[in-house]
Amino acid sequence: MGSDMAECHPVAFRWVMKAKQNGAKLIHIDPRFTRTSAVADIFVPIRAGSDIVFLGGLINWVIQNEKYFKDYVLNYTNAATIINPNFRDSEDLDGIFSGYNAETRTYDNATWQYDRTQAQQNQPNADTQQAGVQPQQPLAPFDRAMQADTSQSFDPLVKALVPPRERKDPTLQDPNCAFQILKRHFARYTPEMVEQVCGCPKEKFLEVAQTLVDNSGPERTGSMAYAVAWTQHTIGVQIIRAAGILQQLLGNIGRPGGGILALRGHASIQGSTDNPTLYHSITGYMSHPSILKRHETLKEYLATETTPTSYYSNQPKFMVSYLKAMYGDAATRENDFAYGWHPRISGDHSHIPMMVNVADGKVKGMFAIGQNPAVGGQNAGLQRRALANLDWLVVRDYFETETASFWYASPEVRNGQLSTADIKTEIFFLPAAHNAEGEGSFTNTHRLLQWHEKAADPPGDARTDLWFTYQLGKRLKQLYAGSTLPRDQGFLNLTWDYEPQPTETLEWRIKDEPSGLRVLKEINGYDVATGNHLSGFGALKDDGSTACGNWIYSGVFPAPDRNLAASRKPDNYVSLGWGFNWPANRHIMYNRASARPDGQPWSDRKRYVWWNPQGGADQKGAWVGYDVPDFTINKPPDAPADDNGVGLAWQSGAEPFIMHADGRAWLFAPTGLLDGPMPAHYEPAESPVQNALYPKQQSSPVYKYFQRDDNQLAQVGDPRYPFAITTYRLTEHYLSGTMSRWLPWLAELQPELFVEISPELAREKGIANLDMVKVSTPRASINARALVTGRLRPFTINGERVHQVGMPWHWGYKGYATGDIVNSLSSLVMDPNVSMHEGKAFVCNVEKA
Amino acid sequence: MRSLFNLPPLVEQQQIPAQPQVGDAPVPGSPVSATGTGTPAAPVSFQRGQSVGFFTDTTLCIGCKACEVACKEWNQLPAELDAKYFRLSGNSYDNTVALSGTTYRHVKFVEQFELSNPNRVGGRWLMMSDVCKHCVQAGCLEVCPTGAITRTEFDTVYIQKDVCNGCRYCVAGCPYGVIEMDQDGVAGKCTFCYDRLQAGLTPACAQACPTASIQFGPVSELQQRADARLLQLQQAGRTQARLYGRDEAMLGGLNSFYLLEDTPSTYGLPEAPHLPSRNLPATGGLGLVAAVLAGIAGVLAMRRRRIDSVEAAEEAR
Amino acid sequence: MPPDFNPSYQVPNWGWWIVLYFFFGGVTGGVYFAAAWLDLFGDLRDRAAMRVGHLIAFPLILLSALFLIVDLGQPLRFWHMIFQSERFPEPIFKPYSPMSLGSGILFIFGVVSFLSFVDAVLGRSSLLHSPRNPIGKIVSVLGALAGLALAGYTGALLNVNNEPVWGDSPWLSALFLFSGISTGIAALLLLARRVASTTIEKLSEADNYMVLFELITLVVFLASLGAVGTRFIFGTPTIVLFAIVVVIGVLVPLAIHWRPGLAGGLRSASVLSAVLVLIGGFVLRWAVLAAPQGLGL
Repeated sequence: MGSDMAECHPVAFRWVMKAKQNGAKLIHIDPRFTRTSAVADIFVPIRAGSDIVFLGGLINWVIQNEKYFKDYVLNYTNAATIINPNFRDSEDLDGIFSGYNAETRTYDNATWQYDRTQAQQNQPNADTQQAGVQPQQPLAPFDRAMQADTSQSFDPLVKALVPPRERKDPTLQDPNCAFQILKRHFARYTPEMVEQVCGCPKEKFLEVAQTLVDNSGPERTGSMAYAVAWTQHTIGVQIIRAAGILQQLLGNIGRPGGGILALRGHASIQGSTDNPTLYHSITGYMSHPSILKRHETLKEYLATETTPTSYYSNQPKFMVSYLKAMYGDAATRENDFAYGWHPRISGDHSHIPMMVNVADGKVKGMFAIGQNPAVGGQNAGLQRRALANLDWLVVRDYFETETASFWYASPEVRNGQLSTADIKTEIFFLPAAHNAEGEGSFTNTHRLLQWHEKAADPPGDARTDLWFTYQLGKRLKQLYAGSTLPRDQGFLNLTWDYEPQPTETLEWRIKDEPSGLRVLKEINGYDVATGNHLSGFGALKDDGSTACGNWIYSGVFPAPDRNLAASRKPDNYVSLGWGFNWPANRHIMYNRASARPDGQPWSDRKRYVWWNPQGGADQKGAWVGYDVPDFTINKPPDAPADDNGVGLAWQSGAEPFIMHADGRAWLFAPTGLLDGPMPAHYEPAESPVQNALYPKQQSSPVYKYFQRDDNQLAQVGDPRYPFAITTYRLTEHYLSGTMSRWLPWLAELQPELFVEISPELAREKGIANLDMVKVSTPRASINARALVTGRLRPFTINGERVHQVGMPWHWGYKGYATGDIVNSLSSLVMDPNVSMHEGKAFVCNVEKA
Repeated sequence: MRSLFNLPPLVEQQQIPAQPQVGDAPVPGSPVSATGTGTPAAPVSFQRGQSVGFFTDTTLCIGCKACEVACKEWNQLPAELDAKYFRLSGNSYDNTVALSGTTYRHVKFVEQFELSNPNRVGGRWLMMSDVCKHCVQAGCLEVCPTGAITRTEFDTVYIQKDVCNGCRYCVAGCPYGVIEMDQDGVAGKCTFCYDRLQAGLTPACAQACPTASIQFGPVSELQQRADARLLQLQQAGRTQARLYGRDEAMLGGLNSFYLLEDTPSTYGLPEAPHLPSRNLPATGGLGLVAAVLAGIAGVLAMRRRRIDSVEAAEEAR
Repeated sequence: MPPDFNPSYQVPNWGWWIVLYFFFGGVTGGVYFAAAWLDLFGDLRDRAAMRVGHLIAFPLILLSALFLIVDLGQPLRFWHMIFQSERFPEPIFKPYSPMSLGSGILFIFGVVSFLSFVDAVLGRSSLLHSPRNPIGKIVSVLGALAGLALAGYTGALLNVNNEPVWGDSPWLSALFLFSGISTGIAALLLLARRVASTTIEKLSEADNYMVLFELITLVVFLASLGAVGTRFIFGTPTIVLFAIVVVIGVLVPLAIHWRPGLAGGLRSASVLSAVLVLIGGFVLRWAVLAAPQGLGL
């Protein structure tokens, strides 16, 4: 669901096919019948954008029919945790949660927090004892932490952050416990509602529900895979959340054959978010220092960001080691480990807001490295017009992309909206090397790092991204040399030495290619005094004696001659000897959940990691199994939770979710999401139908929108745009087509842009197969060939017939296979959590051209 | 049982020119180890003098066309960029449309959706990677007048492009419509990666196929695998599954045979393909009869008659 | 999707060069057959016509071969059909492949027709083909057999095939044989003008037999195709071509022969009839090749 895996991840799909051949059932739930549906055992058609109703329907069915995995839910999720009594659900408030501010379109999540009231009265206050003062009211954790003495270590800060224990009801009867709240929240997501809003037959929904529960429990597990058909919505994150809740109820997380796999869409995009290209995080998903948060000093940053009762209690070690890796010897305890030099973010710098700023003339220059916003950006016309406002633009790619050539070839230039003579942007096109023309690591979608060797020199002036970035840094440093301005000191002191050993470039033409292994060493971490490689993140310190570029990768390169990413020792199961799976080579995260609370496997059939009472070097007990246990290796399953414990001591030996503050999976999410602790169904920002669940709240109350003339949205029921439209990818092409439309062998497989329409719609509009048709939205109008196919069908939603069309969005104006740009049709709206666009569901009109 | 007219040529087949070897030259009759499709745990070994082939299980095909691209890349075949071909065909996701002299693999798509079913439940989308069948009794080989089409030591059918003179008889002789002419005017079709076989490698398409729909190996092994798979599918209730070309009944057996999920004609395959020579006795016989009739009629018309001969004698004087 | 979107055949693009070859090949074979039969069974007055036949048969076979060579994708490799290209001069001969057989027929016919040609040019047909020379008679028999084979083997080639229509019938070798012989006789009638009227009568009578046999064979051929015929011929413009063959190529010539007065006398009737038969023969080749390949070839 939320993915067309066979088409978009065909090589990974081989494992799905093998599972099928071993008897697994494949279910595909999608607006269209695709090449994945063709090999699925069960195919369920749903209207694009109605995923939360379907998943919520499953959650409701599982709860109402008591088919959830009771022991798992009770012990491993926060089902029993009691929530703040002031919490109000969307069911109580006609579609919004408590804490909503309509003016700012944001939530204050204070009422979503755990109820810690009772415990608070009983818990001794550690800090006040230290200070010798009895306060009238307890301080907020942040303030307590700021008062702690961090002159030698940050441990006192972490300890001061430890909150009172939350209240729980193990009987799951308390009306304010997460389980009961969840149950009430999804009570109206009945099979009938699913049929009404999703448009799929009730029988199919029930078949899916029954199949899921038949394949869950102690003896069996089921897994889910999703991709951008879940993420590219204004409620995208909540769709994934709904799946998370469902898998928790079914007991499928942390167990072999279970889990939720995010099928990421680019080669090594996992590596790119790990080491990050996302604006809002630094390496290892730590928050980027921001002027909008209490991040002024390192102490403030740590007081804000550290979770004291999970493995994240080690945040100070990760952060200080990161700063040492960044600034080397110039980072000392005296200067806050150079935290003051580290850049800060000042808002949402993700792609869409950035391009809006470009459109408004606020950005001078841009690097487009392996990115093609002229085709890949939403409301692409706006983005193409925006490019003309830049003073300079650097494009690095294999071919002269649409972005590099917008100034003479874009539709805006050809139709006179922009004139080449008037565009003042200076454009630099730098040829890029392919990934076989350089060495490096590649992290795939299940967190596996594999090293790839350099096979050939790139031709001519083409260079790798590594070379480019390194050279850019070197030359900028030269330009900054000698500056005494405070704001330049950070750049000048940035560690920046990745020169290759002569042996590394002996056989190659390009002699100044930076050393990938030196970069990997910095990422892995090393002891500052000796330069020795660190064995893993367990060795990190918060006193500046260790440096580590990315704590989650630590352990990949534990010795100069042991690059684990390059190891290739497979076996017929987990293959721990093949590559390196972060963190610490654990393949399934939270795999403690594959064993019962008492440490024994849930079933022999599904044994994965378990407690051996005689295990370990000292034979006093250890976790053993097929994978690296994702748990403190010698912590027994019956270890008690310590109310005064810091980090994992806070959690018991039966709480697998060690990165969460309470060691539990979250049915109810008190923090982390900006649009609600539980998923609720909202229609996409543009939809042809009313929200049947919350008539008073049509779309997400917190989604981000840019009010501009060139970004108008159609209202519900606008007769000018009556059809639902979804955009997607084909196997034959890759994203904006910069690689595939330029390669004749791929271009000829799908040479022309098309729009897939159902035979019913074709008949209504008098459109024959292969006719040129015009597809239009409030933003733009494009032409495409009609592909009339029975794989698409009209839906009956809320009693009305709703037509849905679909378009693959790979085409642009350069290359062998050219065509109109589909993303010109969509709008600039964003999911508030991750600023993701909504290319998967909006409205349009289709007519003969 | 070879048909009476599918005799080997009167003159011995010419030697195939030596291909560049990788590693040691294989000794005839000794195993040539190869890397198999899928994981390193599934190697394939085969040898000269042994029939190798493809078993294509279309129930595993996801229509990704990696086979088409891998084939073109290995054989360095040109893409068909001419405007006549470089356009949407309108036939599902199949824009390749047919095999040709420069396209040796073609994935077919057959959409089966009952349009009166508003929910489209129960619809099917069949996919199949079409290729030369490397028939044991090959129609193309039978009719080729230059002997360019020949049988290799791996029992595959191979066109020697430097011998072919472009008469195009093979195009008409193939019961599957596999062969067409290439940009140089000579015939082209799947070579079964003859050069890769000689180096002990799996053909490019089978190597690239992500779901192992295209399986390569000795034909006898593939037949066993196919039988097992057919049984598995039928026991799972997929009663429309059938094998195509697995047995000798069809042209002596197809070295590239298929598991289909509907009738052959659904996939554009002939139900009962024949060799061209099946017509030879009849057409030859009738031609002979015609010759005799023509001869007799000619005699009747042109013979001397007594009156004629008198006149002729007079005229001759 | 239309059911024939994935057809199991491709067209070999045997176009106008092949139409010309089939046509001229038939004419050539028919010319020599007529000349040979006049030699073997005719009288002294027929020898003039026989000589004309011997004069034109060899140039015609060269012309036919030229059409064949030009049609090839690699014309300079035409000899690969006669000798093994990698083991020259070992011949290649596959008698079960009509095309390979055809190259043998062409070769034999070429040799025989060359001998007759030389005799006709140098010796005025009085050396090899002197009325009492038995070797000449053997040459004539060989040539006639080769000529019959030349006329008919192209039909066999189309039948020994998997192309729709061609491969669905065994009748084309007979059809092309009759048609070829009839066009050859017609060509001789046109070109051998200064001959005895009895010769012309004989040739015309022979031609009538041939076009009659051709008509019968054509009707049987079309009828035997069944559904294939309906799909490729009867529902398409190709049927018009066949109609032209029947009417102009057969019926009108027969009518003219029956009533020479319609065409103004014996000689002019024979000319007109010959021209129509030739047209019919050409259009027949076009029609048969067009059936699976389309009218434009």
